[in-house]
Amino acid sequence: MDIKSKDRNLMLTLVLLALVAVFFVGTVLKTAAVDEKIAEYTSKYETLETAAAEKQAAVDVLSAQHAQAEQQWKPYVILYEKWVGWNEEILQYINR
Amino acid sequence: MERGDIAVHKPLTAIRVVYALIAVMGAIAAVLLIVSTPKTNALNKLITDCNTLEAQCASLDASYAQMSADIETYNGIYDKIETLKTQYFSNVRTLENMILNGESDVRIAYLTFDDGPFQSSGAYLDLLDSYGIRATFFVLKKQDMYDTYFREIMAGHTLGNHTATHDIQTIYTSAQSFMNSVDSLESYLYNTFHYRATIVRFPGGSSSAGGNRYAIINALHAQGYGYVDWTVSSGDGGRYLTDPQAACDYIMSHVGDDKIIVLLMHDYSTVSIRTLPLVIDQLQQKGFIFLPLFKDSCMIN
Repeated sequence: MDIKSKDRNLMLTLVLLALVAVFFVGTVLKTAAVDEKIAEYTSKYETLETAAAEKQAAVDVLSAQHAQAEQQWKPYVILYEKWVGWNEEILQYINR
Repeated sequence: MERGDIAVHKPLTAIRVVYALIAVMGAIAAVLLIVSTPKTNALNKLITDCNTLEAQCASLDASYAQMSADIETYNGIYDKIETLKTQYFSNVRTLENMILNGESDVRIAYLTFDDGPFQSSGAYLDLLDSYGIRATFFVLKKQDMYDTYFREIMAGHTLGNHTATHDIQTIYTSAQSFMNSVDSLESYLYNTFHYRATIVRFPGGSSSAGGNRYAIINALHAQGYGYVDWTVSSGDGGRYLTDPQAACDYIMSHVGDDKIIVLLMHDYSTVSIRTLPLVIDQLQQKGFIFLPLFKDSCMIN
């Protein structure tokens, strides 16, 4: 093997080393980043899970009150809308 | 071994070290890559789950806000209806004045039905609904007729106070006796339906009160009531008109040229339920509209 071939081999080897080194560092950094993100989102998930449970409990309580109020009062809401219409009718008789 | 041989060996050894380094780093990186793949999948699932929970929280917030707003609406609905009714009847009074002053060619018929509610009242309510007409029901105190009272109120009819019992032998013995009967019915209507009946009709008409008529009228006015008799009677209380057309002709003959009438009927009558469509049609042809009575009407005393 002559001197030039040896130098070429050495260069190629160093380039390969550089590429593998970049690949190695990138993989290490990416793994660390993923671990950090997992920790972050795990904490966020637990917070959201607690909040969702509390909100669901509040909605369940209000829902029972709402159902009772709706049964009792919805006919009156409909009646109110009827009176709005009847008032408009009378105004038409006055204004014609 | 010559000097040149050593120079050849040195680069060969260094390259082997480099190759070894490359192999080690590559192996480590490959292992890390393999291990990180499930971690990345787990992270993506966590992100998705967090997004789902956020959306769920937003939806729950919206539901809570909507239900709170609905309950707020329900809590104030009585007052809103009463305010609107006051405005409505003020407008009707304006229309009455215009009619009486000749400024409007509209005529008003106040249909009134006494002594109910009855089981037969439903048919009358169906008929009025079919015409889109509201009327006035001078009711007694019948605590087993909740549904009919409620239906009358929800249809926008006026409930008038016809005393609790219609017991003419008792209620006209004194003003106090009469007012006790009025108050009994009023309490039932208010406590059960939150409804205030502000118009009274004397059972049998105000002339039935005899010598106590003016005392009763004063007592009614003192408690904020108005009272009304009628301008046209259907005659169904006497039950001597059994043919609907004859009954209709009788009623129309008493309407005459009146621009505002108060028609007396009874919602127990099997004749009036068949007469009413004929009367409504004829009154409509004469330009009448049909409204429920109210305390400030020109027809109320």
